[in-house]
Amino acid sequence: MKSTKRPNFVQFFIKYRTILILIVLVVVFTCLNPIFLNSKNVLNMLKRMSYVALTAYGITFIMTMGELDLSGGSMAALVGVVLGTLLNRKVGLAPALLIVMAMAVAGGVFNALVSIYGRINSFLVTLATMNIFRGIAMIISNGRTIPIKNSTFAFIFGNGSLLGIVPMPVVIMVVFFLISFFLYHKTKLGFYTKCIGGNVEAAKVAGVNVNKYKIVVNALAGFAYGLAGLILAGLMNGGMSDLGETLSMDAIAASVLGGTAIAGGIGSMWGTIGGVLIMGSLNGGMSLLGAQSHHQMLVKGLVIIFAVYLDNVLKDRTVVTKDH
Amino acid sequence: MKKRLSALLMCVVMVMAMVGCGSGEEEKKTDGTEAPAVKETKAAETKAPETKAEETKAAETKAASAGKNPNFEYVVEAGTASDVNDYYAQYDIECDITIRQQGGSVNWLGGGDVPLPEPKEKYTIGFAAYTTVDEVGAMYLEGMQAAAKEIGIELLVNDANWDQNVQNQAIEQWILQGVDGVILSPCDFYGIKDALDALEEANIPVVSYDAPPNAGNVDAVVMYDAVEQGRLAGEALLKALQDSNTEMKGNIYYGTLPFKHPNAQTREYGFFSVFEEYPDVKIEAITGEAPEEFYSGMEGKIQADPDMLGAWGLFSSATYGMMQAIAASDSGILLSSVDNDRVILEGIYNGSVLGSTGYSAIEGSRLALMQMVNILNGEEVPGIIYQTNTFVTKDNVETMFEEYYGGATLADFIAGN
Amino acid sequence: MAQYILELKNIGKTFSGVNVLRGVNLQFEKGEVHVLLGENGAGKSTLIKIISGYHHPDKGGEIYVEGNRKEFASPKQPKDAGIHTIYQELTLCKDMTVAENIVIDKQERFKGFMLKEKQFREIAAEVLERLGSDISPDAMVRNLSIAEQQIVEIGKALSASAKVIIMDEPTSSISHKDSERLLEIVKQLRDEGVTIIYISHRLQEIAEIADRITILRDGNQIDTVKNESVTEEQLIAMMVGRKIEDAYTKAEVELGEVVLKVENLCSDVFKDISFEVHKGEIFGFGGLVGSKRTEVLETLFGVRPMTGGKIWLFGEGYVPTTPEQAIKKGMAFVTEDRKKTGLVLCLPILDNLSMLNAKRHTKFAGLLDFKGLKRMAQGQREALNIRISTMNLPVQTLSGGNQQKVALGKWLDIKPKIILFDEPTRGIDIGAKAEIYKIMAGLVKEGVSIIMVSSELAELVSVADNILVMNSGLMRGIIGRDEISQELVMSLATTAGI
Repeated sequence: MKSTKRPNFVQFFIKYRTILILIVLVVVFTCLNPIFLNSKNVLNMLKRMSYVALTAYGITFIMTMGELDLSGGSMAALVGVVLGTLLNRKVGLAPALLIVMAMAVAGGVFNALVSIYGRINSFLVTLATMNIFRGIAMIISNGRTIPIKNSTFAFIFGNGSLLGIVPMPVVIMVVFFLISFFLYHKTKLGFYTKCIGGNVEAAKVAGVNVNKYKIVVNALAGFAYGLAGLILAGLMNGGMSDLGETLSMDAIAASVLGGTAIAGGIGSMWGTIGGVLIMGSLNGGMSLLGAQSHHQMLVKGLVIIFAVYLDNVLKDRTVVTKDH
Repeated sequence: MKKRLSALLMCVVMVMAMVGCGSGEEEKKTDGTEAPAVKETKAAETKAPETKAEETKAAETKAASAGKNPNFEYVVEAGTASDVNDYYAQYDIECDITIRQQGGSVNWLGGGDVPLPEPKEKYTIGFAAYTTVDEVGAMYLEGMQAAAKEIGIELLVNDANWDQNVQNQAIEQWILQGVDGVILSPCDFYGIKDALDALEEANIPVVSYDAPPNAGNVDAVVMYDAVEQGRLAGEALLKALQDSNTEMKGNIYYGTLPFKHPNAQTREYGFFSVFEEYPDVKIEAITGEAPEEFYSGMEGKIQADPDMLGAWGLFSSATYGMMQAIAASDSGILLSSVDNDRVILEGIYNGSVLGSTGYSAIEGSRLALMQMVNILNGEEVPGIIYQTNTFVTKDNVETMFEEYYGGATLADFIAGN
Repeated sequence: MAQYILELKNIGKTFSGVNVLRGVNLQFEKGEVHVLLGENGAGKSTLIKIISGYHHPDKGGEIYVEGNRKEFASPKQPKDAGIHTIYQELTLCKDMTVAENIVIDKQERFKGFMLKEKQFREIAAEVLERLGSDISPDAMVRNLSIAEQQIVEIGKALSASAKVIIMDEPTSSISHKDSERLLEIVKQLRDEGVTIIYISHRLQEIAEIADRITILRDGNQIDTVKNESVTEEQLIAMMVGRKIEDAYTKAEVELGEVVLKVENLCSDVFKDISFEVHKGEIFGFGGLVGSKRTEVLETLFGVRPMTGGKIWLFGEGYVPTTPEQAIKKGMAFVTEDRKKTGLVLCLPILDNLSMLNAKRHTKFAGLLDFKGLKRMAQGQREALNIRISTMNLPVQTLSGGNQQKVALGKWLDIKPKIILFDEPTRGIDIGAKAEIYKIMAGLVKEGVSIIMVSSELAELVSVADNILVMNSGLMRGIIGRDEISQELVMSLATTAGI
């Protein structure tokens, strides 16, 4: 009958497991190669995870609602390709950005509408739109890189830096972390997102317009993918139809590492950014140690299984302690 | 995808060649606006260098080859910044790079290994590959590691697995680690730019191998002439048609990628140029990425057009798929190719492919290392060196196989060893 | 006289042609505890769902709240009218805090963009205090016990100033102690003027809290009585009421030797169950839903771990470990939930019938002997009179009765000696029921023993040779053939344990 929180070691570990894993990683990598904690290396690594982070913000909303979205990476690629094409056609930067972001949002809304009115599982819908978006990107670009030479764009989304120190993609990552955090934890939107994911029947009984929230959340996620696409295009100096092929999966992995439940209802933005940092540190640290990308993939996979397993084991244990 | 393409493109070819002159022997560069494809490749076709791997193990062949007698002379023109840019511009490919080294041309005598210069100190060099796990990537890595060991260079390796962000991150870290130079082949021809900028800022020399970046600045480029690769394949097909007294009227089908890629565009250009004077010959594309796509594509064409003149695989997957389709139909259609994965060489050996243009990854990696060490030694070097293209036919396929794969024999490969 | 807080006039409901509720007229007064009593399938759930806006009543049915005619088109509208329902399946968001759950349906609390978390907590703390609960508003619902979750649900309703709270068997899945506490809260709410519509089988607690009791049977409103003017026996009689129908076929079989003997069987949810089953016997398990009868079968079959006791099977000691072993020993288990554990709905009849027997019908190298399987399936189809045009139809296209025959049929090919049969006739029509009884009679004549769990009293009473009645995981007694009566079973089943 005693309920509520029991602040013991297990609870502490569950709550802070993401940050604990991260600390372990940082310590290990720094011991193996002190350059790991070099401020420049840190900023560079952050820059390389910024687009994953943005995608993960979106994915966290989606997964919290109990849905899944595979189309993020394709949308990011499409955004870069369309932006490059528009800029090459002498469309101004501001209107071009507006157009591509509107497109990204529309893509999310499209996912939601097909899922709701076609009564198709979101996983399948986005499996389809993942191909559709990338297909469109390939058609537009003809498979070529579309160079983007706009220096303002390159500064904001690529190689620019705030005060000459913090890379702009990192600035964007942080700013949108704050916004996502606020939306997720402090607003009605985040609240009902969690409720829908946790128990959709309860949400309906509570009078929540579930479909409306699905559309809004997908639109938000689309916006996040759009930003990720802009950063990718900025870092790559061009739009490419094959960018971000693993982006959605990386973002889902990061979000899950951060404790977001695939079944919905649970998650936190702190966890998600923690998951992104773990993935990024793994990439950066192993790269520094000279490990090749296939080894990195292997280790990343193992870490995901480990983290999720830990999650389950610890959760089970708390349930047991409660019942007895 | 373009990344996958380049992998497929580069089937390992090997003509052991030799740089005849040291890097000190520079001439004043000519401002080369002419097309850079200048090799006398025919020579290589007629007589490949004698194999040296018979009695020695693969790893130890390099030193032994220095004394080989060249049967042809291979001259490398001085490279200039505008060369690569103009070269690509002809084929509607946007390229805007600056090549800092403007050293003179070198006389490079083929028929042996690229001799490596003595480094003045023990350099640490980063080797950034787009992949090291396909046939060409593996041979580039193998060649580079052997060469580095040979002259005592510390080599840091990064396999980015086609992800430009991964490659850029590795390069950024190498800068912090204080490498002396970076040898790289980009995953993405534009996306590499930020890394090149960072290297420039850190004053670290860069040599690119394989296909060069299309943006940013490098010190020197080692590349191959893909136009020539296509042209050689086209010429071989034409000759085979003429030999069999076929009337030059009908269709040729070629397998290519479903999108535009620099190497595909240039190879196409070379191949098309051969048939320009035959207005009745139509060349039609079958597009795809994986062998099975070309298999089914070619199968359809064979049914619809059994009297086709011939076929061409623009890269290894295309050749492989088309080869299987032709074999399945038992139609004996002439198939020419570019790239020399082992299965293609086997196809040449058993007659299902009439020949294929190839180039050597081991040669490419040694050339790149030679350039880098010379630059670090303070020499001036040519801006561009082109690797040798060799057209492999049934006559020289066994020799070439041993050359390309470090002494392994085709017979062993066919036997499944 | 003041108007009724809630009034139902002529409420009926028909599902795909089946009339499950007929002409219900009920008036609920302010501040009363009104119990709805009835057997499973009597129509209580349907009635609640109509009141709470999930179902629409048939034409002619009218709902009045405080004298005003209401049309409830969605679950939200009854709430707006002050009617809150606490379902057996609680509708809480488990991964949110108590406070968040309590405010979740208060749209007016969400005006503006930002969440007012502090305010949420205050609302929750206030209502929890009113209920005398020590649950923290910040606790995660996942970490609460079922009883605590119910209190949160009540709090949710209270904080929305509910006038009517419907509780669907709230004590069915919580402990005796928690039940008492809940009943205290119910009384307190009643005294505060809230109307409680309370659904329960437990006659003792009904006697304790009810003001008025409405008895439903087979979709009909039998009577509405005052609590103090009725005895338990009268209630049971009204609940059971019907005559034994002709449909039941009792096989007249001489009982043979003891095939299964169980002594003090225990598991995590029941304890000290002892009984004997003879060859050719139909042994019944009676009791209310949730009295853990199915769990006994599961334990015998090796699905649920046994924690104590002894079992003899055909005279030999037997410790259930896995279903595989149980099957080898000659047992079969026709489960209650055909859709979940009995059949693979999307597969054809043939495949379902072959499921258990596939191993027995293999040829060289494990290849399936399809001809043999087909022959077997054909045989079952004829023996069981499964009415289908082709064996290739997915099972889901069959009627409930035919589905049940398939679920039974898949076991018969392996010639079980003891069949565990959980709710043999749930959800099937009267004709099919008769056929199932006939099949059962045929089986026992062949010397098979059947252990049957049934919530239908009439069925149990007329088919079984002996009946073991359970209540809350405890054995309340075994009724022999000569003394069996519905009333006796019901009174044993509804008497709370010690």
